[in-house]
Amino acid sequence: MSTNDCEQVRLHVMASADHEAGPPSPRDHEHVSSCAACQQWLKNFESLTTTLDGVAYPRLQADMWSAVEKQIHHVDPTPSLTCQLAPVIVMTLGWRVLQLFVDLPVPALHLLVPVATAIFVAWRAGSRLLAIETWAPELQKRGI
Amino acid sequence: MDDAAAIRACRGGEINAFRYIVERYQSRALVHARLLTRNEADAADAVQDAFVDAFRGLAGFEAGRPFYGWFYVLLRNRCFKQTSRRGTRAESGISVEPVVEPTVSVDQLDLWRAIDRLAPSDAELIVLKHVEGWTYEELSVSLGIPRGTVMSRLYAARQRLLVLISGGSL
Repeated sequence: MSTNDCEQVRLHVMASADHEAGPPSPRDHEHVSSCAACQQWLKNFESLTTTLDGVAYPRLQADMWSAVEKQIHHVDPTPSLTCQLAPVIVMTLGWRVLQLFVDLPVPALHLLVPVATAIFVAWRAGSRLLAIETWAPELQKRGI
Repeated sequence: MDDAAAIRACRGGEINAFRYIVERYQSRALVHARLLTRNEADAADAVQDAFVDAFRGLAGFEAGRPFYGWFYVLLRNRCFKQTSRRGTRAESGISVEPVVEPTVSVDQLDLWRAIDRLAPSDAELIVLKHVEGWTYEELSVSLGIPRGTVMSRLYAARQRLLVLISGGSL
């Protein structure tokens, strides 16, 4: 009788006791009745499951809600990137429409608006990507 | 109120309905987090962050599923994060006090002491199987391991617990 046999039988007996497999096979019964180590294991296993099945959680008192509430009430005061960029996009489109219908006296102005728009968008998007985001409750928790 | 009603109310914008969920599950979440982090402050922070994650992710929670099974995955991730950044943070601001219950038997206290001495992964399996009553399938899904691995790990964890209960050491 090998250790491997013992382990296979025990795994099946355990799964059966956990209602995760059918009842132990006649071969399992035969093995257990002829193996002193498995008999001892079964006795210990049954005693362990009886003890564990009556166990309850220790009660812990904590006011978790006030800490959680602070965080879930937090509203990011910074508007989203789309909201920030929306007026710029509208103004740029307006400028483009104006260019099509109005003859501008200074040609340099044709370039000025697209360049300014590109710089603004890069600044807003870049600062958002590179920002280290944190918020008040996290800072309080760290004592800052 | 029950979990489903509280979650529906939260989705409808009633933040206070989430209080029911937090108060219902905080104690067991703290026990699980303590077993995983082995540190009171880390556990309290992990539970707090996991509840916030749960609130923000309620839209993705499938109605009809048990809340705690879904929440446990978030809690577990937070515990691992908390453990990995240990030493770089201040103590938690949340105080956790054990409630002394005269009805709890000495055997139960000894059993919890033995569970505390198991490795976090063993303790987690034992508690989820025996106290939560999860099936192998639920364990497999929540822990992200195959069913066969659940079986063999549970077998090994029970063996180690038996050694500890009978006064041995690992």
